[in-house]
Order: sequence, then structure tokens, then C-alpha cells
Amino acid sequence: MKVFITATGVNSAIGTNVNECLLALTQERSGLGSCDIFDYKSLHVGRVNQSNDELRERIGLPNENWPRTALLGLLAAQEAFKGNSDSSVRKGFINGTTTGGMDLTEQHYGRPEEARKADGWKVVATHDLGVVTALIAQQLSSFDYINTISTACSSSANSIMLGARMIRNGSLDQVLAGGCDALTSFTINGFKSLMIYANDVCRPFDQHRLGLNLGEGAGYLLLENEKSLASSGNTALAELTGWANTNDAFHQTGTSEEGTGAKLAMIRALEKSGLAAEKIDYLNAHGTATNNNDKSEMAAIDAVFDHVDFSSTKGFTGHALGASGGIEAVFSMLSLQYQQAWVNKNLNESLNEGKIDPLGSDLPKKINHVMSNSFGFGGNSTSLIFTKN
Amino acid sequence: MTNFEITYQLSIDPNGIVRNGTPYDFKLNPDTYAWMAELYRHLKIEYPKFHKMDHLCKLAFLGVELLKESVDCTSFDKDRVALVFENSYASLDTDQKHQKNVQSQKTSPAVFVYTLPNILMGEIAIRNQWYGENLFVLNDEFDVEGWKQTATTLLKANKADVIIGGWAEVLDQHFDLRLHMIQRR
Amino acid sequence: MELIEELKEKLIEQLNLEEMKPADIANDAPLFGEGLGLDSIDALEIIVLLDSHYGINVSNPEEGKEIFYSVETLANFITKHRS
Repeated sequence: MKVFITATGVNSAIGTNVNECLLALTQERSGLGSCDIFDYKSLHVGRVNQSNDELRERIGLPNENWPRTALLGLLAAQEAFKGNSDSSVRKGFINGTTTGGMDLTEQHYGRPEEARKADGWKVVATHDLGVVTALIAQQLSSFDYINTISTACSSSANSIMLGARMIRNGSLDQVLAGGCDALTSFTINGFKSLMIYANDVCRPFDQHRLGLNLGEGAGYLLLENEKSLASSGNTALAELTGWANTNDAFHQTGTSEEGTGAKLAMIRALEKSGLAAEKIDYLNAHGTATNNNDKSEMAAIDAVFDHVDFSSTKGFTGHALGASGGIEAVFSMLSLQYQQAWVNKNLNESLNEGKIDPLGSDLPKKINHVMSNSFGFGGNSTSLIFTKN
Repeated sequence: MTNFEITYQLSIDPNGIVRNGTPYDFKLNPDTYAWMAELYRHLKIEYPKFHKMDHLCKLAFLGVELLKESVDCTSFDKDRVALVFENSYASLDTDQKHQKNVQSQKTSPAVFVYTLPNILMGEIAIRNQWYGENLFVLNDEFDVEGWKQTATTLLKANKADVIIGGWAEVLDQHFDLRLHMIQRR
Repeated sequence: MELIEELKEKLIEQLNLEEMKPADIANDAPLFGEGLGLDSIDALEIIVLLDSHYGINVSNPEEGKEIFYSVETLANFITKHRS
């Protein structure tokens, strides 16, 4: 059973919908800017250029006190999912997130102790991951299947993978899959404590990269089988032909020198799609710009490919954690739709440990197959392959 | 139609440890988490990294170590052991600690590392060098049939030979592990 | 010498080296890799320790490699930089 992609929705530091993001990608315009929140004014972040009030207005829920993660999520989900009234089509929503309602949780912790006690732990828990999914889902449709995945920075890529698999095995006909995450003081502090937060703009795959910049946003794909296509009337933009998830089994936060998990994920995704490595016309790498990730991902890319046009788009958006796989899945789709590979922003001197250099500028070319990598803490490694329909 | 069966079940909660329906001979005092190190010693594990883990990781880790005591996992193809876990609180137990550290401006990297629920699968994968698929799902409560369905999806897709996982949750003094193994027969 | 003993105790506490006693850590034994088996997160915790207990700021973990080689090198570094 084929898995078609019929619609996309996205927001990130470079735009609040697909068209705005496409424009920034084609103009090679980064969305990284000074941190406008918390005590970290000197840091660069990739913030979605909308206040919570503006987001509430856009999604038509002016009075709801939702976590920002859910606001960003619903905005992108509404763009990708226009509803389906055919009740015989089994519909799913699979959402990946890591911060969930953390921005509200931070507010909760900021309250006086008495008020916190009155809130109870379950309040904090319900502001967490699964509830974000439920909030978004109830605004969209009645789904036959809802699931929340939290596997660190590969969360939304894994949502897409699970969605594809459930269509492939006949459990569902139509799945909205992807993920969302918002910037929080919680994560900024954490990545700073790991000393992998750059003091400057992030420079993925650069010899002198200093670490990552965090970002935020959401990205979703609408996956459908032929039955669903017949009733939705949607046009297939592309097909999801390959997917794989592996564990690097090396370290909680670090990746192995040779990129074992990454290599295995790319190879297995290629096997799944039945494609040889040279058929990949563009690779959207994970490329967080940390010393460790880029080095090991580069080693894995070198091991899998003789040559490939590749880039990390995190120089545009920052690292949107659990949302990054969804956002980059949409960027990969745009690459197929508009026949362009995206530039690796902020590159001065390529990481010379690799035989292959990242793209120095946007590259118009014939693109039939795009691979997208998403790796997360805990060794979680995912590769997806999108094929032009 | 290939048959997939749950071949192993283990639970650890404040009432004790039950393995395949039989109480396991280890008395745990649920008032503190000292029992975790006691069980570690009881099982004669030599893995100093254990002591650095948070309670959630320790709970799942110990569950798998208990599994290895009664099931020979050495014959498994290391690329084809998948882990599928779920819970409702994610990593909230450690999230609280990190949040407190942030507020007192004493952020600890060793705490932050555990503010993701899937790290427990990472720890198990590292310990056993299992490179297969990992999935962590959030649910309100544990429904073994639902878990079995997800696990079976992976087996049917021929992504793995063995799925180990289930429910693993820790929050303050609450802990609950429901470990299952499902295999291709 | 006092500093060395103090460091051993602090390392055991901060890095959760539960099965170790100060006497188990030789002054010149490598802390990372083969020796005590510490990893990159432990290195970051040592940086936190230097900052909070000794007021010494190490901003680049790469610098840490030589400084953190053993308890002895760490003690020498602290003696030199302590404010």
C-alpha cells in the first residue's frame, strides 16, 4: 500500500506558513535572531515571529490559555489538514513533542508555593506532552487513532514513520503526522549546561562550529492511502517511500564517532525504499552544529554516500527539537515540489573531515528523491525518504 | 498469519516484584528509592553508570536486567531488538529537579540529560548494545492490548524479532513498571 | 594533599560514583576512558563543581581534557587558579 503525502503545514523562525518558509529558503534568509526572552539576551534563537496572542487570533481561539507548543502545533496542523467528512476513512493524528506544555509549567513553578500545591502535580502533568496532542486533535476532527511520541529530537520524524507504517499495514487510511515544540527557559538552560549552545549563530558542518541555537515551530504532513485520496479528492504531492529508526547505543547525549545509529538508519531507509544511495538527490541532514553531532553525522554520510548534495537547514531555523523532523520533512517536500536543494546557511569553512561538502548556496536541480535525517538524545536515529510522485 | 505472543511479563511497583505471575524473592521498601541500589547489588550487576541514572531509567534498566536473568537474550540479533515504552508523566520526575536547578541557577547537566523519557531506552540500548528501533509513546494509562498492537505493528513490518517494553513511570514516590516481551513465534 | 582528598570525596559525591571510595582513586590514574570511566557529562559536572566550589570558570570543555586527566592534574589546576 502506497503512502502519499497530499498536504503540508509548517511554522518556524523563517515563516508562519509554508509559503513564507519557502520564500525565506529561496531567498536564503535565516530566521535566527537575538533571544527576546528569559535572561539570555546574548544568545541566538529561532523564534516563530508571532506572540501567543497573535497565534491565538490566527487559530481562532482568542480566549484559550494553551501552551505555546500547542498554539504553534495547531497553526501548522490547520494548514495541513482541511478535515475529511467521509467516516469510512480511518483517520489518525500522531504528534511528536518534547517540551509539551513546558512554558505553562514554568509559569506554574514561578507561582507561590501555596498556589502550586493547590494546582497539584496532575495539572503540570496534563500540561505535558499528551495533552498538547489532544488539544490540537479536538480542534481538527474526530480521529480514530491519536498518539503522542516523545523520542527527543527525532519525535516528529518518528510520528511520520509510525503514520506511514499504520497506513502501510492497513490500520489507517489518512494520518496527520509531525510535531511541535516551543522555546523554553527549561531547554535553553539545559543545552547551556551541556555547553553545546553557541554564543554566535549556529554553523552546521562548519570547521569552527560552536554549537547549536535552539528554535521552535511545528511541521505536519498529511499522509493518505489511495482509498483516502479517492474520497478527499486531494492530489498526491509525493510519496513516502523509505523510513527507518535505529539506536546508536553509545551515549545518552553524545553520538558515536563513526555515527553507527545514523548510518544504520540511512541504510535501512534506503533498503525500505529500494533505492540505491546515489538516487538521493538531496539530503536534509540533522546538522545541529554541535561538535559531536556534525562530526558523527558527517562520518555516517561519508560511509553511506560517494557523493550527495546535502545541507542542514538549522542555520535558517535553529534546532526546534521535537518539531525539527516535521519542519524539515516539509522543507524536504518543498525541495521536491520546487526542484531545489537548500543552502547550508552560515558555512564559512566546511568540516574537512568529510569527503563531501555541504551546499554553499541553493541549488536548482532535478530532484526525485529526498532523504531527511533526524537524530535525538538517547541515541534515537531516524531517516525518511520522500519521492516525487 | 504469523503469531505474536507475549512471552514474558514483569511488574515492579510498591507492592513488590512479580515475574511471570510469580512473586520475585526480593523485598523492596517503597518509602525510599534505596531498594534500587539494593536490587542492583542483589542481581550482582557490575555497571557503575547505573548509579548516575535517574529513577525512571533505573526502574526500566532493572526490569530488563531481571528479564535477562530468566531469558537468554544473548541469542538475539542486536540489530533486531526493538524497545517500545510508554507512560503518562514522561520525565516529569526529573523535569522537576531540573526546573528547581534552573530556578536556583545551579543547572546540572547530569540532571538535564534525563529530562526526556526516551533516555530510558537509550540506557537499555547502551547497556545491551541493541541497535533496533525505539519508540516512546504517551498515554493516560497502560493498556496492554494497545501496547501489544503497537509492538505487533513493528513485528509485522519485519523491523524486529523481539520487542521489549511496556509501561515505565516514576513520579516522586510513585513508581510502576509493567515490562513485557513479545516475540515472533 | 588535603585538596586531593577533598576532590576525591567531591567527585564521588557529585558524579554518583557509588561503588568507589576515595582510596580507590589513585592520584595519577586517568579519570576518563579506561581509568574511572567518566564520560562527557561527568566532565561537564566537574566544570560545574569547579565553578561552584572553587570559583573557577572553564568555558570550553575542550580545555578540560588536560586539566581533568587525573585528580592530581585537577588539584594542580585548582591551586593555580583558585581565587
